[in-house]
Formats: sequence, C-alpha cells, structure tokens
Amino acid sequence: MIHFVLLISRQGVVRLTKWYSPYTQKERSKVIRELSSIILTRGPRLCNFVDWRGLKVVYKRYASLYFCMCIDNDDNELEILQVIHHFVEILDRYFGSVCELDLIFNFHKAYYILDEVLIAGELQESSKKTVARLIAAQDSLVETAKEESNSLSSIIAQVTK
Amino acid sequence: MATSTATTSSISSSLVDTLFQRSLDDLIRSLRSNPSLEPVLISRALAEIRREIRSTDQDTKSIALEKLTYLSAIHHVDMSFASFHAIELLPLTTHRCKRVGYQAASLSFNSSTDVILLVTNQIRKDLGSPSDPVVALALEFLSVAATTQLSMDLVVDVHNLLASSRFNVRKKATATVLRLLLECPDSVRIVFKKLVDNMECVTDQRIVSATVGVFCELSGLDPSLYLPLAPEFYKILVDSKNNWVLIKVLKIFARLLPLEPRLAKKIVEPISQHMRKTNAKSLVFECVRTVLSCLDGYGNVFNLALDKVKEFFISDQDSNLRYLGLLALSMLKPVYSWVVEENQTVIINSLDDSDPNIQHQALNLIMGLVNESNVIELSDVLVNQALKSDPLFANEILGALLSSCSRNFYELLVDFEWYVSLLGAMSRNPHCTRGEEIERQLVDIALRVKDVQPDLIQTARDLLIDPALLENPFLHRILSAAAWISGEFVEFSRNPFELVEALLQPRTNLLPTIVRAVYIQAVFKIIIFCYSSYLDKIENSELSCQNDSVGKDQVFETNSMTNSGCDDDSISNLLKTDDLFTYKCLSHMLNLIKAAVLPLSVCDEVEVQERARNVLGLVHVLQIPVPETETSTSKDMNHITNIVRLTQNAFSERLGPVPTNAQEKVPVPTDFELLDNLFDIKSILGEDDAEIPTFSSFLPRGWHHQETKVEESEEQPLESTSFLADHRKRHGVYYLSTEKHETVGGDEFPQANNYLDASITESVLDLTHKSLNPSSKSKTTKSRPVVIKLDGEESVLICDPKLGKKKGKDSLQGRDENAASLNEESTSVAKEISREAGHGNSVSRHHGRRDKKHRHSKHKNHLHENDDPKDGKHHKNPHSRYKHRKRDDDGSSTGLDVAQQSMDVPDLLL
Repeated sequence: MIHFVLLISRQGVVRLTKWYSPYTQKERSKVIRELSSIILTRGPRLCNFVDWRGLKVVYKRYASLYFCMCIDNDDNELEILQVIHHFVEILDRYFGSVCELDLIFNFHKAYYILDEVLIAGELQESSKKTVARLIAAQDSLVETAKEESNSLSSIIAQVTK
Repeated sequence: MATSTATTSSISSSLVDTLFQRSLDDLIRSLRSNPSLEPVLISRALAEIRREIRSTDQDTKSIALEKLTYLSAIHHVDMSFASFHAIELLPLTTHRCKRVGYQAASLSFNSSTDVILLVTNQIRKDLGSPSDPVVALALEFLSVAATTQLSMDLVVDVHNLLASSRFNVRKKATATVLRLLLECPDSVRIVFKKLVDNMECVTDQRIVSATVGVFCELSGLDPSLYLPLAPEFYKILVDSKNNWVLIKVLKIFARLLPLEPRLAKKIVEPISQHMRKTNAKSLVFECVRTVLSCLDGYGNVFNLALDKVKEFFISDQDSNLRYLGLLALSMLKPVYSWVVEENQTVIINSLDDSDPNIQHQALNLIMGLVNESNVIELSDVLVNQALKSDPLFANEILGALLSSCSRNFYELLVDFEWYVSLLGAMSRNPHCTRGEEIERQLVDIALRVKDVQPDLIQTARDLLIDPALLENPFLHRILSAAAWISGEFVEFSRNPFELVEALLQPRTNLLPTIVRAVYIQAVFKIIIFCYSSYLDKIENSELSCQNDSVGKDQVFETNSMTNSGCDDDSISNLLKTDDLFTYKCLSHMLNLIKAAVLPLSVCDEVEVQERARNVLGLVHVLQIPVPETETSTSKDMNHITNIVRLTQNAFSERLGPVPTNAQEKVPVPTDFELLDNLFDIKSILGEDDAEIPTFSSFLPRGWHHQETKVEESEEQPLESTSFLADHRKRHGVYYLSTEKHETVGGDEFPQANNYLDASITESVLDLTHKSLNPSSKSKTTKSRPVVIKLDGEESVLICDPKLGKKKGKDSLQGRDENAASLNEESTSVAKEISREAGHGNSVSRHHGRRDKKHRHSKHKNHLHENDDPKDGKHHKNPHSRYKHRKRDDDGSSTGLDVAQQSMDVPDLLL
C-alpha cells in the first residue's frame, strides 16, 4: 500500500502531504526533510525509485513539482508511477493545465481530488472521467450551500437571530 | 453589568471577525508576498485563527479551521489545539463546513487525540446518510484516522455499506475495511463474507479492485488465512483485464505459493499468457518478479521471464527498466547465479551508470557472482571502476571487495600475491577511505600467509616510497601497516636502504605521531638487519679466505675511511654495485638516519621520542670511530657484533600470538625456583641508563605480535620471575592477591591476552607442537598458500617459527616466550648500547631514576648470561610498552627533580 503521498516543489517547499499510515507530527517533518534532500538532489534521467528505510519511494517530477509516493518494498514501482501520472492527469483536467500556483491557492481542492483517487493507500478510481464527475458533484454541492447562505433570507435570519 | 459588557464585546469581536476575516487566499497571498517574514506572519495568523475559531458563526469557524489546516499541512504548525473545533464542524449540514471539519480531522487526528472518542456517533450518523458525498467524507476519515476503538465501534456500520447498491459508497467502504481490520483484526469475522462476495461482483470492476487490494494487504500479514480463497483469486487472474487487479492478485499468489506448492502448476499458464500478451510493463514486471522468486522450477515460464528481463536491459533508454531488471536478477536464488553471469556484461556496464541506485544494484549482483575462479578478473574490473567513480561509490566498491575477499579467512583467494598488490592498488585510489580495513588485512595476511611475505614487502615499499600518499589522512593507517611490514619482513627486501630512505623522507612529518612511531621502529629493525647482513658477509669472507689475513684488514680500512668523512652520494648510487652491505653504504645510511631522526628525539610525543632515541642510541653505538690498532678494532667489532646479533635475534624469529590462558595450563616444573634471588646483579650493573626499545609497537592492531629469539642461552624465565617476585615484594600494594598464580612464572599480567576463552584446552606443549607443524593445523588447498588459523579462535593464530632462516637457528624451544622477556632483552641491548655510547644525549634525562633502572638492567642482562635452556613459558606483556612509555613521560615532564616520584608512578601502571 501507499504509506504517504508528498508533493514537494523544486525548492523543497511542501505543497501537499497525505499520510495513509500513522506518523506523528514529528516523524512527518523528519520524513519530509529526509526525502526532499534525497530526491531533490537526484539528477534528471535517473530512475524514479529510491530505497529508503526499508521502503521504496517512487517519485516523478512534473514541471517544478516532485510527486512522491512511498510504498512497501514488494509493491510494484511501475504501477505507482502510473498512479502518479493518473493523479497528475486528473489535476490537469480539473484545473486546466495545472501549475504549482493552482495547487498553492487551491490546496484543499487538491486534497479532495486526491481523496477521490486514492483511499486507504490504494487506488480507488482508475477512470479520470468518474473522478471528474465526483469532484464536480461535490463542488456543486458546496456552491449551492454557499448560495443559500448568501441568499437574502439567510442574511435576514442571521440578523434577527 | 460586567457580564453584559463582556458578552457585547465578544459579539462585536465575533462580528468584526466575521466581516473582516481573512480568507485562506488572503493568508496564502500574504505568506507568499513576504517569504522572509514567514515565521512572524505565521505566528500572527495563528493568533488570529485562535480567536476566530472560537466564533459562534460556522463560516468564520470553518474558514479559521481551513487556514489552520493549511498551515499545519504546509508549514507543520501544530493544530492539535483545534481538534475539538474540527469536531464541532462535523454535524453541520452545510457541506462545505462539514468537509473542512473532516479534512482537518483526517489530517490532524491520531491515536493520541483524546477528543476522537467524541466523533463516533457523528460518523455513524454520516455513514447512514443518504448523501453519497457525506458518506464518502466519513469513510475517508476512517480510512486514515481510525483508531482501534473507532474500528470496533463502527465496523458493523461499514459492513452494512459493503452491500450498498451505491457503488461509489460500496467501493470506498471496501477500501476502508482494510484500515479497520488493521486496527482491529478480530473484526475480520464480521466482514469476511461480504468481502468475498464483493470480489465476485460482476457489475463493477472497481469493487473487485478495491477488494483484491484489501486481500493483498491482509495476505501480507497472515497468508494462510486466505489460502481457501485461491480458486477465487485464480478466477480473477484468468478473467480480469484490469492490470491493477492482476498485479495485486499476482502478489497474493506470491504469498500463497510457499504455503501451497501445488498452486504453482495452475498459475504458470495464466502468468505466461499475461507476460506474452500484455503491453503494460508494470504487469510484465510483476509476472517476472513472481516467476523468478516463486516459480523457478518451471522451465518455460522461467525462460520467458528471463527473456523479459533481457528486454528490460535492451530498452536502455529507460533507467527505470534497467533498475528493475537488475532488481529482478537480485531476486534470484543463489542457485541461478548462471543467469546473472549470462548478463554480466550488462551488469558491469551498469556500474558506469549515472544513477547511484543502479550502480548499487549492479555492485550487489557482481559481489554475488564472485567465486574462486573469477575473483581476480572481477576485482580488477571493480578496482578500475572505483577509480572512475565518484568518491561515495568508489568506497562502496572498495568496501564490498575488501569484505568479500577477506570473508572466512580469505577463502576465495588462491593468489595472495595478486591480492596484496590489489590492496596496494586500492590504497592508491584517491577516494579511498577504507584505510583501516586495508591496514588490518595487510597485517593479517602478513601474519597468516607466510608465502606472501616477500610480495607484501614489495607492496609496502611501493606505498612507503610514494610521497604523494602521505598527504591523504585516510591512508595513514595503511602506511602504518606498510611501515610495520617493512621492518618486520625486511629480510625479503631487495633494497633495505631504499626502505630507510622512504621511511625517513621529509614528508613523513605529515603523519600522525603514532604512525611516525611505527616508522621509526621499522627503521630500527632495518638497521639491525643491515648490520647483521654485513657481519654475515664479513664472516663468510673470513671463512672463504682464511689464510688471507688481508681480507679482514680491508674491511676495516673501508671502515675507517668512511667514518672519517661522509660524502653526499645518495645511498642508491652506492647501491649500484651488487654488493649491498658495504660499510660505506651502512655508514651513509646511519648518517641519513641520524640527520632525520635527531629532531624527533625532542618530539613532544613520547612514542616518537622514545623510539627516536632508541634509534639514535643504536646509531651511536654502531658509529664508534675505529681505532688504529687491530686488537682494539676487533674488540669494538666484537662488541658491535654482539649487539647486532643480540638484537637481530630478538627481531628475526616470529611467533604468532599464544592463547593467554595457555600459560595457566603449564604445570610448574618441580625444579623451578621462583624465589631465587639475583646473585650476579652487581656484575651487570652498568653506569648509564638507556632507552628501552619496545617491541610490541603495533598496538592498534588489537593483537600483539610476538617476536622471539632463538638462542636458548639468552632466554631466562627463571630470572624474570624472580625479578617479578622481587618487584612484588617491594610494591605489593599494586598487585592483586594471587595465591595460586604465584607459582606460575610470568602470570603477572593476567589480563594481557584474555580474549581467549577456555575452549582451548590443549596444553601449551600441544600448542607448541602445532605451531611447529603448521600443516597439521591449517587447511591447505591445492597450490593455495597456507592461511593460518586457529581452530576455535578467529583473532588468534599460530605462526610457525621460521626454521629455515639463513642463520640456521632452528633450535626453537620456547615457542611462547613472551614479549616481556624480549623487551627485557632489548632493554639490555639498549643499555649496552648506551653504555657504549657513553654519555649520549639519549641517556642524560634518566639520571634521576638510575637506581631503579639499574635494577631492571640487572635482571635483564642476567637473562642472556644464563645458559639455562629450559623452556620458558611466559605471558606476553602488553603493558611493558606502556610502562616504558610512562617512564619516558615522567622523565621528560618532571625533568631533573623527582627521583622519588619516578620510582613510584610507573608501577601504578602494572
């Protein structure tokens, strides 16, 4: 299974973290420090796998972002590379040629998307279309709620409360 | 009144917060605009969030929590204080707020979060919600943050969802079950049936995929539980078109196969089908992995997998595939090393790869290949590779080579001559940081493999002579070993003078003092060797032209000639002639030594100083001007001969270490008079004191090399024992009470070599026998030289004494004479030297302790005046060196004043 997902910028700034195995806050920062120093120093055109603490980290760089996933030693590395690519394609489809800034300012959305792609450290949805549909459904749900809360009646209700 | 004011102000602040609250966007923007002020901005934002999060307005609260979640995820801010606020958001009907609450909770909750107990009911409610997104939120939360308690409470609710008609919910519930089962393994009974049902779900492949994922993880914990499901897994393996699912199923089979070998026959066919048909590399690799690790008995599919591995290698554009190819080969059992050999070229080329991970894999594979027949070829490739590689990998290679070749007493090696030169080549690698290991092996081989000693000295010479090597601090340990070898085995050297020059070259001042001490000690040994060879030559020539009295005169003519004035010719020029040991050469060498060592005699470091003074003392004796008359000449000559012979004897014969407890096993001979006092002490007492040369100068090695001399006339265990008794009488307070050990000669330092355990129960006599007959003890393979090792001990070895030495001194009797007695002998030698030297520099500082030293010298000199040929069994005395050192220390630090102190202090060290 995937133990965690990390998105790290080329400068070593973390853009997204998701932990599927229990790690304390302290361990999390340590893991991020260690891995970013290992991965960011690796040159281009090297293989995408790093042995790390008896686990394996599969990473791939897209533009200025490194997508890293940590897996067990006997998990399939190529499969995880495909998962990463899958996730990136979905992000790309959602944001329309995604860039780092999209992930910075929509950081919670990136999480929601990831939650539709992976669950409990496993891939849950291999169809990009389905993920897009689910995200859109959630978005519309939020939008309706927002509209409702901004509607005149709700403002009046708040004032008179 | 006061309360109403407080309420009003809290309402108004809440209103202000609501109206002017910064959104997450604002926070991110402000952080990005001023990266340098980040810590300040974060703490300011935190203060703001702490205020806003207490707001009664749900939007204000949720925005505050959203900002906090951001800070926690990206800037590692601790958000545990907000756990309760996150829970407050969960029951809200507004999806946005609920989602923020769940997100915060799943990012921050862990088993130590106490308020997590409060969420159970809310989650149960959400799991039963008719809205898919709400159920999804609850399931996602459970899948990352479920605790044991939560799992137990909620597993039934999740179980109900496993049969839900809403496939999206069903899929997520299936995946979430994994986390619940990991936390609470007992609940597997509840969900097992529905999980199996889901695996057979035909309507939605995603549910099958999720279920197989769960079983894949669970089978890693206890495969035997899932063996009954093998038919279902087999069905998926045959039917499924989904690569993700197939990969998971293959993994499950890889875990089931060791439990049920009959499965192999069934799955071989589908696996080879998949390998042939699929285009997905991930699936191919998974098949290859399964076949190479579990299905190696099936020729067809095994060969197919190997072909696929080769395809991986051929597609060399993709470093991922190359890495995985190497990884696949490394999964093979050792039986299939021929497969690795087949791909040897690819693997060796991979050593050159720019990717350290690939290099590392390749190195591992190659080290697995090394055997007796190819070790030379592969090692040469690897050493060359290390020259080309970056420092990190170069040392990885060297380390792997060193450990492989030395494994199990160098079992891979036949050609030690080659290995010694390889060690030399490794030392010359500019990145080499494995000095310590190389040093250890050089000395180890020197002691264990007699046949290779001549090659060792050649390698040592090459290392010592190169001034460039002195610069690298990592090599100093190697040079130390080389120096020791050059002194110890100087008789194999083609040109000892060259060694002396190398050992005293100016750049040796770059060495740490402890290594310099070894260098100087080596010089000492070489001087003795050269002089003894010279004397041999004279004797021979005397014999050959006995009736020609001119021969002897000629020698001494040269003698006086060169002594009077020394020219600047380099020694090597003098050595053009075949005859190495002319007086001219020797005298030149002495001058060189004197010039180089003199500055060291005032060195701060006692180890260096002491040895430098030893050497100077020796040089002084050997350089005495030759008087005109022939009688006195021969008298002096005789004297020099005596000293040289004596010291030479001390150095020339080698014995390996002896088990420490061997001493205790020797029965004390009945005619052994331990308390006998020294009767001829006065006759030996000289006027001056001198340094005591030390022998076990190579302490860092972890064992003490034992040297011994052969002439039984020189060894006198009885006297050293009585010396001990005497000493004990005077300084009883520093001795342990030794009732029964009292009788055993030489057990004064019971800790000396205690690393031997009691498993060696043969008597020392037995050991003596063995050491004299190494072939009975050591394993000899074909033309392989003898590598000496003891039965039980790894760190101890028995060297056979060199019976065939050129002087023909083969009457070795006391095979474990100790270094202490040697030390004492050499002490006496040095004493004689210094007596001859008269009032040399080296002795002046010892006046303060003269009487004590005299007592030492008394015993010591007595040693070789007694002719008792009895076998002496002694413990080697590692402290002797230290004792001397301490004495030296006293001498140099306290100077002239304290005779009293120097009497007492050194004994503390006993």
